[in-house]
Amino acid sequence: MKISKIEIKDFHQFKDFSIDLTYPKGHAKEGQPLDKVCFIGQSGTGKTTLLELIPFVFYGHVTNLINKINSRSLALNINFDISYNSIPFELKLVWDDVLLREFKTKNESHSIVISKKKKILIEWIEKNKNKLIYFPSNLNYDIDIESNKDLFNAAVIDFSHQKVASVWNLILDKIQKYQEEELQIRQEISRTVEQSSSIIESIKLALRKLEDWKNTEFNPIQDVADNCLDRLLANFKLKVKTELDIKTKDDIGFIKVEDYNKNEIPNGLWSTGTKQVILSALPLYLLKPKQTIILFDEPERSLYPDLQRTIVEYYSTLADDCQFFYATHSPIIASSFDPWEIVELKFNEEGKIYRELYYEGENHIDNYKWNPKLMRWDDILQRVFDLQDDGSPLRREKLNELATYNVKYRKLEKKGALDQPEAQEIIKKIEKLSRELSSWN
Amino acid sequence: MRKIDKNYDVLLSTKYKTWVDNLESNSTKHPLSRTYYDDVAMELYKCQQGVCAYTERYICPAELYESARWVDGKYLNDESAEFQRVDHAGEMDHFDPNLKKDKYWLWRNLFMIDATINSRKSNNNVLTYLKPDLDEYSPEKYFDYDEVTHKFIPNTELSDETRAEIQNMIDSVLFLNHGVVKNDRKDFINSVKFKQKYGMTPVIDRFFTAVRWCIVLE
Repeated sequence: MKISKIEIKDFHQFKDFSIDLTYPKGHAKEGQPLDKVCFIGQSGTGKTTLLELIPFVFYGHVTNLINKINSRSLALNINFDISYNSIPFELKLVWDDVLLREFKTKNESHSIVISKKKKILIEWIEKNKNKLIYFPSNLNYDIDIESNKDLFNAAVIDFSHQKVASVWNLILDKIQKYQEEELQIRQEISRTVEQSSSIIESIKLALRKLEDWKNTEFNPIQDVADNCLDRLLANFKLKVKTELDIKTKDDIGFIKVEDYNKNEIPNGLWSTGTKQVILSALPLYLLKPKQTIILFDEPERSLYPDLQRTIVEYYSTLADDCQFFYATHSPIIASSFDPWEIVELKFNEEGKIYRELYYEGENHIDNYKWNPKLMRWDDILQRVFDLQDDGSPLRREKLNELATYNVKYRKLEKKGALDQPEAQEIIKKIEKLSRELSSWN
Repeated sequence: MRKIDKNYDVLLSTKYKTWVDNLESNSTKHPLSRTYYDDVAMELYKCQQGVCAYTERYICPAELYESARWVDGKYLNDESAEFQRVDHAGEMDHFDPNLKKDKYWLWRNLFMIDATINSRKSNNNVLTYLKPDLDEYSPEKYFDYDEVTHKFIPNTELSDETRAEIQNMIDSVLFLNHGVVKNDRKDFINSVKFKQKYGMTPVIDRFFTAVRWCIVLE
């Protein structure tokens, strides 16, 4: 299930708004829905609104933001073009005493009542076992484990309503089973030692059994460490603690983290960056989403730039054939996207929203003006994020000074007066300013 | 930026001209109706060769202001053409914002400028002596260009007081050195130099002043 087009006729700041979310001409996936989309734009341009409309239009799922609006106003105003198993559908909201979702293919149409009491799922939704996942900007960092059956029953996993840490329940049973088996083998070793302490071969055999078991048995915590979290935690000089001393499921708690000297870092002392990484990557790894939509609002929160640079690609590796939607204020996050994947939202003179196009003429990969993946960070800030100044006002002032001395020097050069004391003074000033401004062109 | 010839006598938009002359001769307040917006905008682009009157960024394709677009003294949009009347990135600037109220469509007060610059410039007044269509105006009088930082600066020969007021224009009203404008200009100048170096013929369709001051064109 992927979205190839969003149309909003008239809703809040959106009027006659339409965005094409397919690969452009010349691309190997020309015409197919984009695998990832990045909404950027000034605050108030509707990035989060667009994200939160998606679960509402698909499943009638009401997020915190959608809850504050009159959902009736969405009827006849929102259309999605979607693709499910390569079959194109049109999905729109209509009003007939209640809000309906209308699905249309070329041959048939279905209406689904959006109501908490009357939720009818048609065949293609039932088939879609994987759930739409929403990571809001204000992720719940509470890492107390609680059993939350709603998480797995709902069509949408919305981490603005549910604790992210509750996904840990997905592997708690596996961890307990693993720990119990390990404990059993260790007890066998103890018995062997007690009963045949003088027979070295018997002890060796028992130990080898433990070693073989460890090599062949799936260790869920080791798996999370190796395949999900350790490469991210390495940025903080941390790793997942895999050697646990636990006897019951309650002892397990949430994932544990240690430093490189094997000192466990209590959950309460994790940095917000550490929490952000664990609580965003772990759900994707454990839920193993497939052919669904994943929404991330401000994925950059609390992450240092070097980690922001890698996070989008990393999330993509944790999902199978999913469509990601991001909303961000970070130029570094934006640098992970091709230009056709970026939807820059802007206000027009009347305060309505339009998408700034990055191509000229036909929508072809060769006609794009710039590519964030190839640009310098400052260039992305200036051209894509419209931060058009070089730097602070003081830097601008100093650059003006430098430009003035450069011109004065050139004029003296034209006059053949470089041997004058004034020229030497100018050179000293140019050198000082160039050093201060890191400008040695 | 560069001097702009806005010869009122040769306008192709004769219907606009008759209309505005009539308003002026009767001392009538100009209506805000946009009947002649395209006429004026495209005439201005013709005078400005499709670039912003201040930054000289390229904001309008030449096809839009070809003479053939005017029929019987009125600009007509060609719906079959590749470029439509709205396919430009400029907005109309009223050089003296005080004239907007009564003389909104006064030809001599109008220029087309980059829309992003216009939104920043707002209703700030430009120094009267920097009006690009004045007989006595020339950019050399008031500006210098530093090829190293690619910044315009006030002419270093002017008094400190004049330089300060021109610097304010450059930074806060005309935005001649604003990040993207400056980078585009630097890139364009470097691309012209590159083409010259490798025997290609560069097309100079923007940043005319800076190119003229930095490069000896063959």
